[in-house]
Amino acid sequence: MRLLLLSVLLSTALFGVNSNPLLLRAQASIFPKLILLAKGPKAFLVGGTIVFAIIHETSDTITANKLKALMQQQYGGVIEGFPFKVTLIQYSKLDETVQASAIMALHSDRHIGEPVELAIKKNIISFVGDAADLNKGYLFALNLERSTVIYMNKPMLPAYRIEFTDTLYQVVRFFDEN
Amino acid sequence: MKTKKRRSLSTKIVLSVASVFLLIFFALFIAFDKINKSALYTAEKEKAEMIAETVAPILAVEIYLARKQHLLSIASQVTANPNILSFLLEQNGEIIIDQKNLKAEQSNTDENFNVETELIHPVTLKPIAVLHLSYSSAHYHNLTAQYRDVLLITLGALSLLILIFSFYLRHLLTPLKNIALKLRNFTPGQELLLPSSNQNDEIGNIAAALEEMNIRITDYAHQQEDTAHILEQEVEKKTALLSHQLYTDTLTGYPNRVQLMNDINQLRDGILILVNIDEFQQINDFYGHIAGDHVLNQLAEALKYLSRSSEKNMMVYRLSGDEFALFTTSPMGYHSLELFIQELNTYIEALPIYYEEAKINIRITLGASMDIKNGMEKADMALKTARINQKPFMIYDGNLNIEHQYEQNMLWIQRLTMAIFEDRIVPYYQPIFDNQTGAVSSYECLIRLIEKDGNVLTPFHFLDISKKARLYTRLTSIMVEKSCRHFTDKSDHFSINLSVDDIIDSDTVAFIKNQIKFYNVENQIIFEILESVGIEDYPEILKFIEEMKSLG
Repeated sequence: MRLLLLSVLLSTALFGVNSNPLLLRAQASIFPKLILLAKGPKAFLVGGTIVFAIIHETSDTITANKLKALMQQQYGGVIEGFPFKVTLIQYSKLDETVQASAIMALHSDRHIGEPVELAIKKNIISFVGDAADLNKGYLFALNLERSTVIYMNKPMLPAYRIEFTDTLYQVVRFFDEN
Repeated sequence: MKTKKRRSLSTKIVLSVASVFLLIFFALFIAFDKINKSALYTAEKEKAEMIAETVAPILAVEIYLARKQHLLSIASQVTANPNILSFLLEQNGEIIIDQKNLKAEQSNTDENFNVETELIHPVTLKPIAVLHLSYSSAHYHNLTAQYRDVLLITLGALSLLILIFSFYLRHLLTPLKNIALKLRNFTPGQELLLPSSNQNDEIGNIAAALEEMNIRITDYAHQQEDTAHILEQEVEKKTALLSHQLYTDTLTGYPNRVQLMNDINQLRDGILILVNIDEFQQINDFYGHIAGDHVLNQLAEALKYLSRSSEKNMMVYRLSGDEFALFTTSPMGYHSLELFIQELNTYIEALPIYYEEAKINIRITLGASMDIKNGMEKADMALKTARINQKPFMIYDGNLNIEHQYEQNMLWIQRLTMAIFEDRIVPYYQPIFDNQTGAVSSYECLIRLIEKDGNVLTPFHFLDISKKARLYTRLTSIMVEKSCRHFTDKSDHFSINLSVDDIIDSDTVAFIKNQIKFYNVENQIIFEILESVGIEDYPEILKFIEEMKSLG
């Protein structure tokens, strides 16, 4: 029943998700911060920098850039004292050479599952732009409901082998396929 | 008699127990009140702190994630707790959330628990905000009120228990009260039956023990009564014996001086005769004390015999060593008494007393008084006067002026004693002339007493009294010493008169020998022995003469 309700909510929100400026702003504001709520955040640094990689289809390049711009505007290159950089990567160019502290995947009808594999393999945090894609194995998603809701994919936590600040578990809403 | 007011033992016990209980209760009340109030206060405050500390990390993350909506939501959830009166979140000096519970207005904020917690940044771990929570003290006050109610109920229950205990104790001790009442009205000798003696507890034991004790005391009292009766009889016997010994002479068995004085004091008329054995000491010295006692017994029997035969109804008393008394209340004229005394004297002096193989004759002197008032003194005066006058008896008669003579004798003794002390006994040397040559052949030393006024008294006045006063040998010594000293540097012979008393007194003889040697008058001194010497003293005189001759 809960799953059904969640699906309905998510599906309604999905329409034009990538173009919802409020959602984009919220994602740009919250996702990078969530990286630092992992225990031992320095392990995610790439050359001492927090590298936030946005994976997108070519068709979403504008949205990806918009998101990047929002993040840069939000943090100005520094989050809580750590250098911060946003990179854009197309699905077609995604491979294991990608160096990132976390990845965020915009919706892709065909490749949406690939970034998850990479993230699990590289042991980095994964975000998904469309909350409906959370069931693909991403760790976090964001949705605007009555307030900003952070979803955490609880069944995937063991696969990622990443631990977060205890308090984070209290503020997120857990996503569970079951 | 002042009755001491006694307080009931049950009251005392109940009061003691109640006092102890109440003291303990109040001590515990005060201690627990302080501890519990403090504990309750701490617990309530900890609750508030716990709430604040619980939400603080979440709030910190929400601030970090800039989810203000969630902050408001949390604030609402927190203030949904009726005990949370206000939720105030302050960041960088600016209040970002201030939510109040409706109850906050009804409560005094001073009494509430105001908790302040810093929110720590989840990444930098630096304080980013401060949470102010106001926690209601209503629960705390409610708990303390409940606690006080419990204590008061406990106190009430305790008081009720003490009251019940006091009634129960009073019930338990009632038998003791009954025993006390029974004992108070108890009369010794009565059978003691106590109401609780068959009770099977300590009171029953006490009651039974008291009953047994009463039986033993009664038995003991009977024994004591018997003992007291025996002792009473013994005391009576001893009293009678002592009384007999007090009034009876132990040697002769006749009444003694005490009995005589009693008899005299009880009567107004009567005749008293004192009988004294002459020279009784010589009998004692010569024949021994047993013989002396035998003589006394024989004299007592003789006096008794005479008193009976004379039909004068006379009582015989032994007054002292050699002194007896006869006392009668039968009327008797002077001449009848004189006749009786003469017969008595004749009979006693003719009475032969045999002791072992010796025959002892005694001589007696008697003094009598026909006046019982001061009769003892008067008869004694008569006896002494008779002795001085060397008469066998004398009857006291105021007309004979016996008292005056007696007084004169006492006065002479005083004069003589003073004369010796003041060296007023002096020898007078009377020359003895040779009829043929007309020259002085020797001097006779004659004793004289020089009175204070210079009057010279001859021995006629004081020689007899000196013998009675036992001063005679002292006079002899003075005469010998002064005479020897006078003739020591002269060639004249001098003579000194000696009596038999001087010669038989060994001390006087030794003194004379000593003076003769000291003054070297062995060839001058002559002793003249007075003619009154008795033939019985002859051996002593011969011995004295021999000793004097041996001196020269």
